[in-house]
Amino acid sequence: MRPIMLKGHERSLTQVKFNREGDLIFSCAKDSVASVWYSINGERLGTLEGHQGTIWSIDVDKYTQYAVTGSADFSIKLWRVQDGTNVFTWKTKTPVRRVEFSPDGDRILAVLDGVMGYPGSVTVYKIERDSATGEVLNIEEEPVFDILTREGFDIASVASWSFGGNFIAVGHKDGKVSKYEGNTGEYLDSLELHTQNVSDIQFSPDGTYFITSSRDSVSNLVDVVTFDVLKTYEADCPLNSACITPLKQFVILGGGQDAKDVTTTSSREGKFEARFYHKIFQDEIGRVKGHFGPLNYVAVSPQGTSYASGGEDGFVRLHHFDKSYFDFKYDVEKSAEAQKLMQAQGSAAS
Amino acid sequence: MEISQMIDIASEAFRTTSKSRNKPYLAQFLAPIKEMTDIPGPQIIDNNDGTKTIISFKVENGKKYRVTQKVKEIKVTEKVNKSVAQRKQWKKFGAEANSAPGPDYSTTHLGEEVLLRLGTSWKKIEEEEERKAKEAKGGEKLITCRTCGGNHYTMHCPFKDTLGDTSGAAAPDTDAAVDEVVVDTASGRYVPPSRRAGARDPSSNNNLDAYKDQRERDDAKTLKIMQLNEHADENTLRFELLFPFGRIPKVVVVRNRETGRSRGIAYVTFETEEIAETALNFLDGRGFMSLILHAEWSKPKTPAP
Repeated sequence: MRPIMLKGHERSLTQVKFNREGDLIFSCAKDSVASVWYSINGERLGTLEGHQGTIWSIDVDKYTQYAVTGSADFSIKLWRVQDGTNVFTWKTKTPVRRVEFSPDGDRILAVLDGVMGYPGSVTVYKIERDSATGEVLNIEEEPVFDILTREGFDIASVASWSFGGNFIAVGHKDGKVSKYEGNTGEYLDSLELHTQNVSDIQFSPDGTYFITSSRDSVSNLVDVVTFDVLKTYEADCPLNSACITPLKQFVILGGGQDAKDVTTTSSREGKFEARFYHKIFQDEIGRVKGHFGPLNYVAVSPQGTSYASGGEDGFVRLHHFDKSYFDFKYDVEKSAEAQKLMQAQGSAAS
Repeated sequence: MEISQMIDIASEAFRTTSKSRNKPYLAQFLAPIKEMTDIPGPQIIDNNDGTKTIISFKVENGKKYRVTQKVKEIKVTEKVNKSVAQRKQWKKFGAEANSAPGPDYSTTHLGEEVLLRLGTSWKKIEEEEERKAKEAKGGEKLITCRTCGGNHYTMHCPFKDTLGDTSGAAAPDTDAAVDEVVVDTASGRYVPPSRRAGARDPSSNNNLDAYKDQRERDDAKTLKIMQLNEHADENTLRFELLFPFGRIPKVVVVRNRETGRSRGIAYVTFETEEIAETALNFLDGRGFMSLILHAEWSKPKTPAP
């Protein structure tokens, strides 16, 4: 597997995303320009320019018509992907840590930092779109609702939509994970999952369960409806991101030593590797090296044929999986398949 | 697969399309032709095996060349999602607005091959490989104990007390020592002339070079250290005994000319007289490699009669 290295950012990456067809990659970094890339060859389609500060988060809607970015310059910008023009800008009270389109693309959630007297919130904006073409018709400047940080919770660091935009799963700085109603913002449930900051929440392809990652080196798989912990993956370094691979039953975790400790350790000790775990068996089944700094974000294409990691070193490394990746099976899986085949042959013979 | 080609194909949007490409698969013959005449157009000949031979002419540096190419057309068919194909046609924007199609080397390049070895025992395999790589490099062989041959300094040898004596007792056989050196030379390792079998002993006075060597020594800054362990060579002295005294311009261990074995005497020249004096006080009567040293100022030698 030869990775394609995308060097479009001058500073450390904050988020990398694939669009629905997996042919475009959206990346943003601590420099104030976001980039759009073709995933097939790593060619840069263009840049989204206009922010004044670190872009913490980027997302693209399911039609790949619009992209949204959330920045530390107190703004959220909506972009037309085709030509990179800035369609709209929302002004916010505090820096924006995370933005995400709802699955149908007519709402945007934004995680607003809790600084300067603001308690921090998960804020939802609405955009009216043409149902046929997906064109934006009308944008509401005022949010539909704010989920202000509740009593007893630390401020939110990440948030994501579940299937159909029914729920919002929120990760907090103190390691709690909470669930809110997607249409009203009503509080539903919470879990004390981690002991440190929840660094990432990514949903499964069908949006029914999600994976969390945390600085406490643990990652959890949680069902969004029942809010039960399904699986736990333990790593040996702080985690910054985790994603669930379609096609194969794996999860990819990314992380590494804190950025401030990096200069004092070699890359070997820093554990700057993407770790592959089996989703069901919870074993670590492989690692991919390459970054010179911690992995800030890992994303897998919706087709499950490639994954990209954005590092503190300013590189996006894009990997298209080899055949061996798709062929890998546990012995129990192989024997179960063989048994099935035998049974099928037996029934056909009789 | 060729990427630029992929984009071309994608533009054909979800229909099954076919494209051909010219692939020079045999060779390109360039033969200069002397006479300068008009350039005829390319001539295409269809071969029986499905290939084509194209003969064309070109003029370069006042010479006319005939170019013979044998090409085979291969059809590549690919199905692409319609929206993906549309997006491949998008014009670049932002910082890339004026750049040419295809990946730009300033932003995109291929990384080194990485291995993703999936399996529950990947860790063990990786460790095993690392160990093997280390062995192949021979990195561990850099340090060899002179007492037991192990991977540690002679000083820290655990068998120092038991083995150290036997090796000392077994070695004085002159023939054996000479043999050893011969083996060393055969193995291709560099052996400094002073340590080769039959090397001139700097301390023997009937040797002109050694005499000159001694005369050049600045006796005011030089100490004679006696009762050294015979296993202590120049480097051992420099790095294990004399390192607190700054730069040491010269260390000479006196050796037997036949066997090359140390006679337990060394001449050490220091940077200044003051340092030499400090060293004298420090070294005299001090234990080093299980022997008590005796140090004194070196005295000028009288030339050989």
